Amino acid sequence: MLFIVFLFIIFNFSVHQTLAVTATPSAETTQDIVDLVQQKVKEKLNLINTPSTQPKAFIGNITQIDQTQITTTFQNKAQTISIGESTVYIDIKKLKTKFTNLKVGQTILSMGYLNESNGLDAKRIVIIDPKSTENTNQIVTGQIVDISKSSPIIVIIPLKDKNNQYQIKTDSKTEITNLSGKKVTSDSLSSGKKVVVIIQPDPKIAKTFYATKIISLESATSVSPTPTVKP
Amino acid sequence: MYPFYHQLVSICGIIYINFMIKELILAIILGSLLGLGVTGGYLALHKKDIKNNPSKQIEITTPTSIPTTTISETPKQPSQISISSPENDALISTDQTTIKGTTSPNSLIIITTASQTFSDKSDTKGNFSVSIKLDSGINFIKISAIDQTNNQFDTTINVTYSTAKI
Repeated sequence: MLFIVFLFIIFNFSVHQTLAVTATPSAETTQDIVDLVQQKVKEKLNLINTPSTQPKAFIGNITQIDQTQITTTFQNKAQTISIGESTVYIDIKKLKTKFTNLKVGQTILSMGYLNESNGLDAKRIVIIDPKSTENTNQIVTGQIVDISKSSPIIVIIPLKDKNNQYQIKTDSKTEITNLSGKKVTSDSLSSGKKVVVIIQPDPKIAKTFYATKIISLESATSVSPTPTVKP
Repeated sequence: MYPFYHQLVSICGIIYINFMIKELILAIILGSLLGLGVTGGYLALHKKDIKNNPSKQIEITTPTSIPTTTISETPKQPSQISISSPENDALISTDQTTIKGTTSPNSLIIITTASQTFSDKSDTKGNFSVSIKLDSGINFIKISAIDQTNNQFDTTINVTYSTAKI
């Protein structure tokens, strides 16, 4: 009977030890996860709740105007612009103007600071011409399918959309480089090569583009080292 | 004094209960031994496995620890492009800014404003940092990353350069 009791005590002791060893790391890991999640949530909440101290500038078309605020939209996103007595208004000719000269449909650039409700407390509102600020550059990764030796035109099919193609004009200002950024000549371009082109639409000819930069994606051909003659 | 038959019944009862208690204790001991034997045998058989494979040990005790192991050990492989600085719609008082972000490792980074083009490469971790010159007023900045298999990822941010006091 004593032997059985002894066995029971020994067995119990070893089981407790094993469980303690296995349970400790998992408990620590779980606590680590909880701490990490809590910390991240706090950071994100702080970011959301704290009004930005960084100045902001929003572009948008005026959709609504009242005495204390303007509503603008840009790319289907509405923005509330709060105005005050200190808000400065600048017209399209960069001259000071009045609040009453703002009209629905105008494009404005509103500068100021975000408030708690994510509206902008505007300090300066500038009426702008949206076309003058447009970035018409397009970045296209594609494959050269045709390159003319007689005229400075290359035809590229984008890798993303093989049903489309771009007629691209080049001139002496077009910068041609390899992947390392080293300038190369137009002779290094040929049919089948993959390139990235930075192009702008030609305002005169539809579906024709002008290339400001061409980057060849083909890796440079390996050059065998020149043997040096030892004296 | 109780009559004799009362004392006899009591003695018999006590003897009977004594027998029952002994049987009960014996049954408990035998049951415990059987249970302990089975458990002990199982632990003894799997002791090597538990020692050699700690993840399995954690898996058995707390399955919730598995995702943490996965998160910490899985390398970051962003499939697209994200910009950390400057913020979208930022207002900057100098004509220079640095576009910082993350994409796939060793990608070609191309940044265009309305008037200029800038290019660079992301590092082996996919981080990039490209200094650019801003035009006066609003800049619609287009940023593209072309990875090593020629997949192109695009994003845009709007940054305004103005020296006006606000």
